[in-house]
Amino acid sequence: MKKNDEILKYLSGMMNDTEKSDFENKMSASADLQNDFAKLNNKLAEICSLKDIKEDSPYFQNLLPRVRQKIEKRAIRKLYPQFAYLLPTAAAVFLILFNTVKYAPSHASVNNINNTQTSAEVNASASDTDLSEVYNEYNPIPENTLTEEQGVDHLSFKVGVSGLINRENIQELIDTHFNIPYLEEFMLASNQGK
Amino acid sequence: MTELQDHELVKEFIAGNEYAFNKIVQKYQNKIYWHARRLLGNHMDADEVTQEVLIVLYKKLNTFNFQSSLFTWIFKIVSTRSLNHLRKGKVKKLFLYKDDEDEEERFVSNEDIVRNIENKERLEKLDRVLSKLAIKQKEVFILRNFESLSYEEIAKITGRSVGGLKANYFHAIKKVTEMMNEKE
Repeated sequence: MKKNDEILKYLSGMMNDTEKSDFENKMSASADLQNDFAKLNNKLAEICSLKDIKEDSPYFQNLLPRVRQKIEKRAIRKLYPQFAYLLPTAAAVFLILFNTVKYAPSHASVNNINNTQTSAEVNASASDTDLSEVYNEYNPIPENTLTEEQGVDHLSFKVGVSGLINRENIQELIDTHFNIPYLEEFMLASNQGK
Repeated sequence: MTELQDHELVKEFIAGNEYAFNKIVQKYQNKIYWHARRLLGNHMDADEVTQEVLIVLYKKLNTFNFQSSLFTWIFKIVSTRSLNHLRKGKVKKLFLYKDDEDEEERFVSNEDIVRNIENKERLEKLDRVLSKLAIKQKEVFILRNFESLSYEEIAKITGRSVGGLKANYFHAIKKVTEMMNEKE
């Protein structure tokens, strides 16, 4: 092993001039060393012979056009740097809008949160007429097709409460029965009614 | 003569002759690819680095100072980019678990520019030997044996001292010959 290290040191050029000539003298006097030297050299030559490998595909013919294409693309991006930000910005805006619409609290959930308060407020400030007007606005009954009595029945049927809709039973109704965004609309209607 | 021709081509390119760049690519693409390939050990990474290097060449040729040969300058870029690629790969490996089978798959991947079975086997043999060397050893081993460069030329490319390169080369050939002995 040490003998090999000496050969490797010689081959890698790590010997100074004196060491080099000593080694060469030693080698010329020793057949064993010559043999080992030849073996190591052959092994390195074997590995080095693996460098001559030819490609079988037209890789190098297509390389330049591919690189040219990339260069052009990058040049366009460089010419219009604002476009580089356009796509991600547009994507971000779209995502924000999409999430706002998709995950915005529904009227029902708003009403569930504020149900007691909203109903109480509406109940306190709106008259039966106000309620009917707003309800009819969002659930229109074809005009001149129902009598007043039929209209009340229709409303009762729709909200699932029997009897007249009035100040007493309105509190039992939950906002979803009306299927209307009434928080703002009712307040508006009730303010106008006052 | 070649160096002068290279410098002429660079001057022509800087003056606006795009065809000069094509000539430079045609002259060096093979060497760039194979140097990257031997350093990185597979076609996909070598292809990525080769394209990257050619794009860098296109962009930075106007900064070439004509003090060194174009070959040295290009090989410096290839070496730097390949080493960066290897480092990035190591970072990726930290976060993405890869087992030996993945590595094996990389070796036998069909996507390669060498398809001839005999050549493929020889290339795999070389990749296996080189993969056992530390990157600095690998680099000096390749440049000395496959590009036939002197230590001085390698020092210009790698930015390392001649003494350090000799030490790296010593360890490289020691490992390579030991590996060859094990196989026998």
